[in-house]
Amino acid sequence: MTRTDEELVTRATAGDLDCFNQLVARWERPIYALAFRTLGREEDARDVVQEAFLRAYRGLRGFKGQAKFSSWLYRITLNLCRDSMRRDRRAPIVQTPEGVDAVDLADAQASPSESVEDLVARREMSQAVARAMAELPEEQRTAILMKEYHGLTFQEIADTLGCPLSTVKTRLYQGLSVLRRRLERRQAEAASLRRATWESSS
Amino acid sequence: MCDERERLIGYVYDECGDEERGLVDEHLESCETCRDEISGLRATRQDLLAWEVPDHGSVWKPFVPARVTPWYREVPAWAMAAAAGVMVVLGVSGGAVAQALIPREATPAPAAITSTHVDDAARRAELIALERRIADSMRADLAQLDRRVKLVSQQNAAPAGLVHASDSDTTQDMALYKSVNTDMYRLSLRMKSIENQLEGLRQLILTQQSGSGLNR
Repeated sequence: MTRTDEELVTRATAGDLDCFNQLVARWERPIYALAFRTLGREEDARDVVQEAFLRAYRGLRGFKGQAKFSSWLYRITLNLCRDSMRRDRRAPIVQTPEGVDAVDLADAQASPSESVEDLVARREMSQAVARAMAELPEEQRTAILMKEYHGLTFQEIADTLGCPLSTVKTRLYQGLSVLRRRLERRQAEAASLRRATWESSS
Repeated sequence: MCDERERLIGYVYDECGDEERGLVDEHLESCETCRDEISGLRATRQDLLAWEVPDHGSVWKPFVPARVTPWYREVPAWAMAAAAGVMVVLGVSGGAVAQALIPREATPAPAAITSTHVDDAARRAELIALERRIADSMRADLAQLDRRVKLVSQQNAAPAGLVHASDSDTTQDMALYKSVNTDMYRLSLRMKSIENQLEGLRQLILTQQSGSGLNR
């Protein structure tokens, strides 16, 4: 039988460490993804994940269940990410691999049917999105992260960030609009580059 | 609606009521700009899916329940040995005192003694031998206790690399060790005092017995 987060929290608060470990196992991946996409560096994301769960454990008694456990955990994580960026006085980093290794690419193929060209395109798009997101104002970036990658509702985002519902919608709309313009421009540039390469080789 | 494009966001994410959805649908039928906006936002959402997070192993080391250690496991071995030695010494001394204080009349005397005249010399020799045995036993116990404490102290003074105790633990052990040493010193003084008292009792009993033997 799978226990809900709230049941696990109740048991963990009563001292059942295994229940807390189950919460970690359930939420570690999303929390890592949020930290990585916010900070842009794996090492920093790992540190934040560890600290987030430690803080959550220490604060379990203070968690009264007003919000979902996941929303509470997201808030802790975002605060830690903010602290980390302030401490390092920097914006999010976009980790870019140096060159493309064929063996590495073969390992990364999602399925045997995916061609290397598709894989390269997918990676390029991933990098482009990471860059475009890193350039967004923090509030817009956070709202998009929580909506697109963590599936929170507008109200849950508002509760997590402590802002009105209408503000969440505005941040999402503005952020998506900026991303759209940047990604369309990038796609246009990539198409132009491909055309030039094809013309020079033929 | 073209002036309030934020309203489209609920439509794009399918988080609006039926009434709102109806209004947007109605507006989109006649507004190409907003149709293009909706289409562009949806395409952007699709692009966002391409952003991958690198695989990573778990960074969390699961909590494990703390081991429940019996209280006696937390007491240093040398302190346990010292305590055991003290108990032995106290037992022996208590037995000696009891033996000296129990009236001889309470124990059935051999027929030869009660029926014949008391042999003072033999009784004196017996008491002296008893006293000697008690004193020897005490000394042996104290010596054994001392050896145990020294042995355990040497074990505790193992090379630093093998000792996992923290500095505070070591300081605590040393304080306990000094405390036990002090107790042992006081104990030896008490032993001496008991010996003296036993000697006094022995003299008293001998006097009484010789008196009663004379009266008999």
